[in-house]
Amino acid sequence: MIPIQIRPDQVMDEITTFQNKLGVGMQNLADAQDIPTGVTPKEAVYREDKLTLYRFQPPAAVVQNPVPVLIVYALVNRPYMTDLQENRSTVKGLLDAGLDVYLIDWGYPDRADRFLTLDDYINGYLDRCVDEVRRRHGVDKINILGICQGGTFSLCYSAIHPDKVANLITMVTPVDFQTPDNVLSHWVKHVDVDTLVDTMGNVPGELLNWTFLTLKPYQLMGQKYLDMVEVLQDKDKLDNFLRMEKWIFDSPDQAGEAYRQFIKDFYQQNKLMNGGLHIGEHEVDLSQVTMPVLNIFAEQDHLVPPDASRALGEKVGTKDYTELSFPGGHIGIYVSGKAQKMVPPAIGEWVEQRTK
Amino acid sequence: MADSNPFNPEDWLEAQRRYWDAWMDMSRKAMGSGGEQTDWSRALDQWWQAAAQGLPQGTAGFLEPMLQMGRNYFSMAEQFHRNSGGQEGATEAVNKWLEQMTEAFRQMGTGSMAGKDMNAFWQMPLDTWRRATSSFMPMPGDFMQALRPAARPPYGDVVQEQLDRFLSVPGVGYTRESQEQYQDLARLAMEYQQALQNYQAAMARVGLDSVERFRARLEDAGRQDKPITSLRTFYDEWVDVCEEVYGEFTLSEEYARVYGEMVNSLMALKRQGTRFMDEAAESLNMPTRREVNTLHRRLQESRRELHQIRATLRELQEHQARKGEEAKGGTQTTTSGSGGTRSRSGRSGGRTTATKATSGSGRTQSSAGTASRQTDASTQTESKS
Repeated sequence: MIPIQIRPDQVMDEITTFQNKLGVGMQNLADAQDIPTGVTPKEAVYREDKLTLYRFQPPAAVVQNPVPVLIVYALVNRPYMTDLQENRSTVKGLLDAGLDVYLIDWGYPDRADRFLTLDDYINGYLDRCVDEVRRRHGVDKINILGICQGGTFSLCYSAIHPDKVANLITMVTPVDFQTPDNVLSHWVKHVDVDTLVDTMGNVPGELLNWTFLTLKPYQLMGQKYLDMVEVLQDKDKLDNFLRMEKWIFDSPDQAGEAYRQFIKDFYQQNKLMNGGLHIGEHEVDLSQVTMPVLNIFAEQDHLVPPDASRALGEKVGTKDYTELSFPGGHIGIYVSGKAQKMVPPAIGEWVEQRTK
Repeated sequence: MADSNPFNPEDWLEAQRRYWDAWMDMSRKAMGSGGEQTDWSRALDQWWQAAAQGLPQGTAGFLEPMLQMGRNYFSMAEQFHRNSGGQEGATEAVNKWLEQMTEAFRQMGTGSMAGKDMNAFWQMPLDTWRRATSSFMPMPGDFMQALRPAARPPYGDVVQEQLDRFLSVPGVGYTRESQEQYQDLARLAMEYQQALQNYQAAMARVGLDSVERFRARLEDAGRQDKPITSLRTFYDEWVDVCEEVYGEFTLSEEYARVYGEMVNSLMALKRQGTRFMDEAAESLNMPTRREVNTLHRRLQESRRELHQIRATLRELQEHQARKGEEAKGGTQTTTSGSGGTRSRSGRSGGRTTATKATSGSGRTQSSAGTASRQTDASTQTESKS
């Protein structure tokens, strides 16, 4: 027996209510202002090509750790996710926790950047940003906080240049790309990446958007927009929704050669786990990651499953390895209220304990 | 932007309320008289056409996904409303809806567009794929649709066979190469359409599985005496089931294969299209994509070498500076960072105040969920919040 207790007049009432809310919501939407993102004051301290290195302005009352931390974000999507709004900002949390925070904004690659390789990104751009921060602070080593794909880059960097990294923090970072629950890895199994890159040059952001949306298509392309009718009733919620929507679809194209190597070496051949990974002339060996490591992952992460991150513990050479599991998802770890209370303070304290 | 709001709030709300009251009134009357039901999703479309004209530029596009979902939701409501004659008829309405969905998925599996409106919700991944890739298709989407291979026997195989034979005819004469290139383009276009169709057929099978699982879930809810009392709850349950079945399928080997074929065949087609564009550009004495790629590659290689040369030069300069300092018998210095030399004493200069606040904002740490491996492995603890 199918237990449906919905009368026809009830259906009509629901439709009428939905429509009324849509009308009010459209009015609120028409009133909506431009939504600012990236709220904490910052200063551009270094530029190269499309890359900008920012330093965030710390709160005057907080004592800063003498060793700065450099945030290395992913190439996909934009780094303002870490500083989305006043009360949802990982950056602000880190500043409040006493860290001197720098961030790399990779910019939007265009077709002239098609031949940028992972070597250019990791041993080129990232290394020069690290040197710039070291020079500015007069230190030999700095702290690195790598996020998602940026975490994978940070791991490679730390393995190649351990002499420049004091402490490494990885957030929602894939290490084992072939755990059974890794959907993205499964999907690219039969994709001919060489033909893809040879044909497209750079890989369009739209294609990546499609991939991410189709991880949960009926929620992300359907249910979410019905829920939005409710969100439209409240201006604050609407602003938050619009901000997130902007970020989700703000996807830079991917430099072709870097994308080619990332998909082949990491997703298809899992070389970070299996060995044989080369970034330029350097072989990446995670046992060379000898500095203290804090590995943070999200328990409900559908993009980077927890096991993909946890694998790091077995691979790094350090004896000072800490895991922090966050009860939330891949995005919630930056923006949820719970994350604001838990993650940046934990990073601040962990770094502080290891600062001589 | 607030000043540019095209709506006088009161007028707008009143106008749209009147519009929908009229539609609902017609629906109620039709329900009472047993006449033909009104079409809510069409009403939503008409309303949107009128409303969108007054919206600021850019906003209309943003609202489109919401309207699309509204249409699907309204379509579900229509089916529900049309098939139920009263409270007792609700179960019957669900059964009919499930049957209609089953039929729509069967149609979708054959490549037919007949059930498109019914299961527009299920077509979202493929629809979004078409939109995402339309900008780099070598030819318009409608033209591509026309190349869709015939799927149904008895004629499909025969037509396909004849086309394959035609496309395999060797080129002859002065334009031999050109003929073969066009044949390749047509063949690749058909291969892509076949891959799209395979993807669609696989998704249709998953849709059928979703209907069955949804039916089972509803029956299970009946056994547990947990009735569904609103259309929205019904919709949410349907979404949950769809995600569940889809999620399982996308981890299968079959999905990886149809997905890979769809991407690979599109890229092969696009590459052939680029070749044509390059030839056209070359004939006009314009730079081709191939030539521009060569320039970009060489430029990037030169830049890489330049960075290496600069780094080497810097190291040499630093080395020389150190030697000079040592020769002078000056204070011990060390290199730091990429530029110049500086004393290690600079390292402590980062602290901005002498006294450290112990209860600074955000300094409290939740130890939940941490697992540490210090030097002594026995100290490792792990707990989840």
